Amino acid sequence: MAETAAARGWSGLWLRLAFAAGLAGIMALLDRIPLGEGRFEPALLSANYGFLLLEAYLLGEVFARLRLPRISGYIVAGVVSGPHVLGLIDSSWAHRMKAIDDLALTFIALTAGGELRLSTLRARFRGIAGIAAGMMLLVVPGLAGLTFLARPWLPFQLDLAGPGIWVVGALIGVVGIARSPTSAIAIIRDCRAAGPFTDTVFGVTVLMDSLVILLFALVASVGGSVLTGAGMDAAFLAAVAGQLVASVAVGFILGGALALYIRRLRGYLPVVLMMTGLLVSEFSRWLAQWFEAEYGTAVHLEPLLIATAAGFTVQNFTREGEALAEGLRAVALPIFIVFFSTAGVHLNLPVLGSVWHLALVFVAARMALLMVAGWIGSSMAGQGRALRRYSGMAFFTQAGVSLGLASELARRFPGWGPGVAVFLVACITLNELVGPIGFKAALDRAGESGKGS
Amino acid sequence: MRELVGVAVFLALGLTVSQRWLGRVRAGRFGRFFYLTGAEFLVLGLLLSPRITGVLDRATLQGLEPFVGLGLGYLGFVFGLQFEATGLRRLPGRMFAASAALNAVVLAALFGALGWVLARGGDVPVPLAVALAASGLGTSTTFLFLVDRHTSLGRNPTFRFLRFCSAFDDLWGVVLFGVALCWFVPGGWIRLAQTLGFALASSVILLGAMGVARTREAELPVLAGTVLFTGGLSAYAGLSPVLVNAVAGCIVANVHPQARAAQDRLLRIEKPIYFLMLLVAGAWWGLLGGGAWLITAVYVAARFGGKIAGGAAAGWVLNPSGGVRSVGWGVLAQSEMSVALMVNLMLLFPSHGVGDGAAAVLTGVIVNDLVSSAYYGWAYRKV
Repeated sequence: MAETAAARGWSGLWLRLAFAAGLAGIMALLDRIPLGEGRFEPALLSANYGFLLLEAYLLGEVFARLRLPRISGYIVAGVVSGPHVLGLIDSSWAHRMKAIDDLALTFIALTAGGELRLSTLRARFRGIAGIAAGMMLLVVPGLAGLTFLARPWLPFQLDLAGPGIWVVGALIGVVGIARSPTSAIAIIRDCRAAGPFTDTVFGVTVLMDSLVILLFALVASVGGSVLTGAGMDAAFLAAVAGQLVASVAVGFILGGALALYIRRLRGYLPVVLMMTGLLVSEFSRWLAQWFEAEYGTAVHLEPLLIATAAGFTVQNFTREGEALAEGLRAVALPIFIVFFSTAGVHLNLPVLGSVWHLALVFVAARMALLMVAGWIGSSMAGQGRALRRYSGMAFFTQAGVSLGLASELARRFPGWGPGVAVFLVACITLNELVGPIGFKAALDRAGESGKGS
Repeated sequence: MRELVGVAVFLALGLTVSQRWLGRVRAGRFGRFFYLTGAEFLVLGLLLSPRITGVLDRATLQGLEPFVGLGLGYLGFVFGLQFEATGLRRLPGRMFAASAALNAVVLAALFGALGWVLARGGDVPVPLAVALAASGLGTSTTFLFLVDRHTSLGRNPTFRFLRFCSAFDDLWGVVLFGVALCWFVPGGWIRLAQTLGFALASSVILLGAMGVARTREAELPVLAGTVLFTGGLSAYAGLSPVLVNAVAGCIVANVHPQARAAQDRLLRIEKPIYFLMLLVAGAWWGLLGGGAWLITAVYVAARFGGKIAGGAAAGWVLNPSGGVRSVGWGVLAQSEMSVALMVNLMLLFPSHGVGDGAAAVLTGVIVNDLVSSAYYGWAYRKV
């Protein structure tokens, strides 16, 4: 019987691959079909989305049969279809497809917030704090040290004397501890994982999402003053902290409004939730532009934090948590697929190709440091064997937040920042590809895959 | 993204308001069902258009094109899925004949009148006249659902025929429209063959996609992906995504055992997609600046006359020795598909002539909804 099931699994795999190849063939031949003058170019965007949705779903299923995470399949589908491999979706269309990212990102953050339960966080607080501390105290100095040691071979020119290289190293280290809550929630959902290990690593992931932004602001301010010899930019640090607090406050208000909607109206909840995701990111952008235009100052509310706080509020401070979770689940899969496959389309392979040797060294070192940090942090917090041995593996993946920090670094330090950012993008690309496999393996080995609903 | 936000806000508000409060509005005889059919979104779209508030401008509408493509493909697919041969064989043949009679009269009235109006401009744009006439054939399913829900007429035998008409009127309309669209640019027969080829390929993709979606959770991304892909490709080729996906849906309905389940799943998201379609149609209406009063008046009058006369013919076919002759009053409300067909036309061939035609159809939707709300009961009177 098992053999039959296995055989069916393999035939299903080939069937899906053949179907995916067929769709790719249609896309490749599209320009060769004589369509005459009635061709309507804008509709290709719709076809691209549909193609990516189907292709990513199929490759996700293929990856699942190979015991790999589905989201790796989604990303690979995007990479293969994108401008750098088969070119089925070229650069201009890839750029237009970015529009859906904001919607998906905030929607997934809403999902992440909705999954966080205060009771669980309280129960797992020691473990969460221990691992987070381990990451900050080990990974950041570790990567800074590696930057110092590797400075002769670094692919960017650093005209920095004395402590300058340590500033760069510290910033690389901070970006190195940034995680991806979006991929974490997607993998947890994909593996249907539940249990203390899952709760703890997810708690660390969400906590680090905010901490890393603060830490980056702190290191950038201190580093800036070290490099220029001027005083520390306390105003920048205070502004970042203020923006984070304001983001959480807006998230709480939004959560209250969502709860009210669910209680009073409830209809079309998945549609309303998707639109909420869209509005959050647009509101944040509009506010930043408005402040820039009116007061000449940059005030940027973090859309991910707003959405996470909103989901968290509904789940923990209202009775509508279950209804919210149900509404989110109804449309989660297509949104995950679109988000990760378009992320694959946008992966910067040429950059990776130019610095892959050293990026590989940094990625391997980061993984090793995360494993050690997970071990030490869990041990210090008195956690069990699973967290000690496998928690580090759960933090390999990087995506949106890390990329955002890399571009902020380029903006803030125009002299050497862009070169470092390019190198970081290469490392993040590798982590994005390899990370989900590590997280799934960690969940499997901790014995929590398949235990959720 | 500005376009998405605008639409997100208004669609969310519209959905909220319409489901919560409009159902309770006492809008008098003419407005009884008007606020519940979704026609309010058409008005909302017009209000958002450049002509009035300017929230949805040309660039914004262009940004919405992929979503509109999704909507058109979706409506076509859901529409096609209802034509399962086994179920249709159970219906009496007289119903098909009555539906054919009804639609032949309406088509003749609309095509004749529109052909005359359009010919006044010089040459005779037959494809546009056929496309506009085709959009006038449909009968609103939502309206009939509301009559069933809010009155006791759902148990009336005539109601069964009206329900049947609401599906079959659109079938004639979709086929005629798709064929007319092939002649909007040179190479009509080749384009007709392309339409059929695309429909066949789409049905193969649909069948393949439904075959690989083994779980309930997987159905939504797979179906949405397929509808986006096939709808997008057919629109890219300048063909009607509605017709291509309708034919594909029809094929799937007759060969796939889970077609009914897929249709049920898709129908759950019908309302937001249809409302988006209305919103965009309303905005385009304002954008294209159409609205020649003569074509609008002729369209509305010809459709009204055609439906009343066609209804009498259908009543006679159903029961030559007596019975209902005023069936036409029950099929006045214009269908969701009419709007989809007009959006399809505006999307692929935006021009002043199409703008005028679209204005006529969309005005017709509003007028017919109002008239239907007041006089739907007349459809059940016996002579």
